[in-house]
Amino acid sequence: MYRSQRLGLKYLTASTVMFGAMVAFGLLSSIYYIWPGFLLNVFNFNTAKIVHIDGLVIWLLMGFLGAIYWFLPQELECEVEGIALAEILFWVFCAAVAVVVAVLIFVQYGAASESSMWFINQGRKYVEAPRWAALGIVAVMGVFAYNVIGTAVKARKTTGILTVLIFDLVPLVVLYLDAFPEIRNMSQDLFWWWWLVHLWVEATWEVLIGCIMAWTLIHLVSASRRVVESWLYVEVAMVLGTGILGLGHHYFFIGTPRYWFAIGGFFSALEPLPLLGMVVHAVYDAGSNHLRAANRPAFYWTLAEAFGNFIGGGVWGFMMTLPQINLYSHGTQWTASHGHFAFWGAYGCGVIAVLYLALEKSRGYDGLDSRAWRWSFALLNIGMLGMVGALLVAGMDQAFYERAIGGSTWGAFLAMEGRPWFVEGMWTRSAFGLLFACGYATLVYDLLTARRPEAAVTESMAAAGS
Amino acid sequence: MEIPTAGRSQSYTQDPLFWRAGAIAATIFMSMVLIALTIDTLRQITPGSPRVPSYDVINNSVAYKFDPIRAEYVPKIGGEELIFGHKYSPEEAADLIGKGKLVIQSRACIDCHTFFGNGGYYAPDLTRAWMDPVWGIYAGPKRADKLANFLMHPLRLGARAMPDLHIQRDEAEAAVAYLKWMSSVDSNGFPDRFGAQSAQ
Amino acid sequence: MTPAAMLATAILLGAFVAAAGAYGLLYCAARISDRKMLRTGGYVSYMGLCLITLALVAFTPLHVGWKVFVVASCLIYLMIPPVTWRYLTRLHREERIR
Repeated sequence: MYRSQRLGLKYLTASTVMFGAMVAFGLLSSIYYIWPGFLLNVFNFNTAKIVHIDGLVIWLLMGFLGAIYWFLPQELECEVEGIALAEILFWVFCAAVAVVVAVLIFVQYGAASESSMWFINQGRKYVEAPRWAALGIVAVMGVFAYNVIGTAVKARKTTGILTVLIFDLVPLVVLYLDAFPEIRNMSQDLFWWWWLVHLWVEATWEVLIGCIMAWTLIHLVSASRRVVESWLYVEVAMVLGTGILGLGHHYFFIGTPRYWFAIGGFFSALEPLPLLGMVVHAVYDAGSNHLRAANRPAFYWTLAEAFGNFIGGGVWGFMMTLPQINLYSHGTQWTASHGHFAFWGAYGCGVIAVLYLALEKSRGYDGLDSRAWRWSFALLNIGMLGMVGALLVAGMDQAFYERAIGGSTWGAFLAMEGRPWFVEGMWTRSAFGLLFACGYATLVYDLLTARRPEAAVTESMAAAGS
Repeated sequence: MEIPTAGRSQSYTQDPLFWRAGAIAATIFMSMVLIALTIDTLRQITPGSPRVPSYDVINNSVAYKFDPIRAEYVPKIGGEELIFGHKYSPEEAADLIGKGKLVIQSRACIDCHTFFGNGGYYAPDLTRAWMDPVWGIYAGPKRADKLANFLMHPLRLGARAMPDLHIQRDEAEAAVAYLKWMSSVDSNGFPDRFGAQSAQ
Repeated sequence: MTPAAMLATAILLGAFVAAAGAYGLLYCAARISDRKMLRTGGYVSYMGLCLITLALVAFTPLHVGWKVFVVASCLIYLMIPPVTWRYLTRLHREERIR
């Protein structure tokens, strides 16, 4: 195994741990909605939410890094350039995450000063981590980009997938620079903030996961390189063709000009079209392989990625993307429903597929199967469906009563708190969140106890005989 | 199963390089349009523009009225209505608003509340909080004082109560000034019908 | 638009894309397994998509521009599965020849 692949496994392990932290703080965050006064002035909702949503970004980023460190040396048939530095930075990254989380839990916030921005909490959604940690992330991403590009230079070759990835790394790293400024004008702050968030999760991350899924298909079902590369180019053309100006769907109501209604609405409404193409591709691959692959969990999680992306991003997104609807759905639990579903479908499922693939290949197994992966697949996906369904009902109730009728005043908010569908939605979300957490626990159990397929068969036969 | 027919000429759409060119062209074209729109948008949201008032709007009254021509709710800037008994110069107002933003970030307000609908969905949207009907009986300095007092000593109202974030007097005044300035920004009618139900 | 119209329109819009997805899935499944039930399901899904399009045009207060967009999308969604399928099939066939 290449050193880079060992590093990839470390990143994938860290990613799985962060996934757990995200789930734990997500469950915690949901309790505030159903238990009035829960931990008030001890550990407030906003801090729990920060660990939850920043945990989301970190677990997915670590998953992407792990996947690329895993695939890259195989792609170029040589060790990754600068791997020693990358190995050191992995531990620095983990330590930084631990320190940031500890400060968030035990210090939580500081005075309105620059030192709070540098050392405690920057208070901008998804990028709350203090500036010193943001610098650390830039260093990690910078070294990562050096690893990828330097290896291609050293090997004096590149491939279609790798070239797409290299071009994608540039905006990926540059956009993160919005994690630093403290901009007085909220309209301008949100304008640039959405460059980071949207052009990450609806553009550069889509390309990134496209590259990772292309490699996954090659190693999972021996897909032809030419075929996956062709498809990757189609995907990139469609996703960036719609997603770059689809950024405008965040610019309806932040003080920016009205022309964003038409531009953002139109391009955003086009975004489901390439996602349907991805569903077709997934079904084609499933059919070509007769729904079989030696590594069954990786195969099914790859399928889940295509469908989850379409439904969570496409269906849920299209419901609320037109400005006339968004005026009322904006900033409600409806948004949270879409956010959870889209992130899960577009990225969560893909990273889990890579976890299983790397597990199989790193142990030299010829395939992977177990009973536990089916349970975890079911629990995680049903848990997610339940959560987003509950949030959708609560969010629609909120959009209807708090926004459309109530006019979004404090009084409308207070009246909303007790509305039956909202309350039931919050309880249901917590219940399905618990189911999701059980799915996570089962996933970890499966990853830790996965056996060679023949060993698993022998064991179950022995158990049946005794 | 289709029988392969070698020798049939390949359509250009079957050529990966066509799609690669398409991806590059689409990315470049859309990026250029985005950059052009960004330049224009940043100009239009600079404080002092028609959409985003300058920071010393905190010296004026700010209301939210239905505009029949635009068919949506629009902020209306009125005559002098000072806060905290002080008329702020443009520089003082800018400094105060800047401090207010630091307060909002240091306490991570956006992780419970929404600003222009962005943030956490746990607490109310604050875009027009300055004009919330609950403060409606207070005007000018009195309203500002009530808001500032609330930030320093939050009342436990409702199931999802506002925590005590140890906001000092000067920080509270800065945050209130920020909320007043923010409520004057033209956000294309969001939130719709704010205060209309109370008015009825 | 009224609050009720807002919710109804949003639900129809979501159903619109969901119907397109169902059509895509069933179309492809029918191409793989050549089962009449799947083919019928695909047709029914697309008919459903057309009915939803009609409802969006006739019964929602969306601006005419958005209604034109929805109708155009309905036609484009019809083409995406067969065009994509044909593209993938030819791509794999050429790869086998190589």
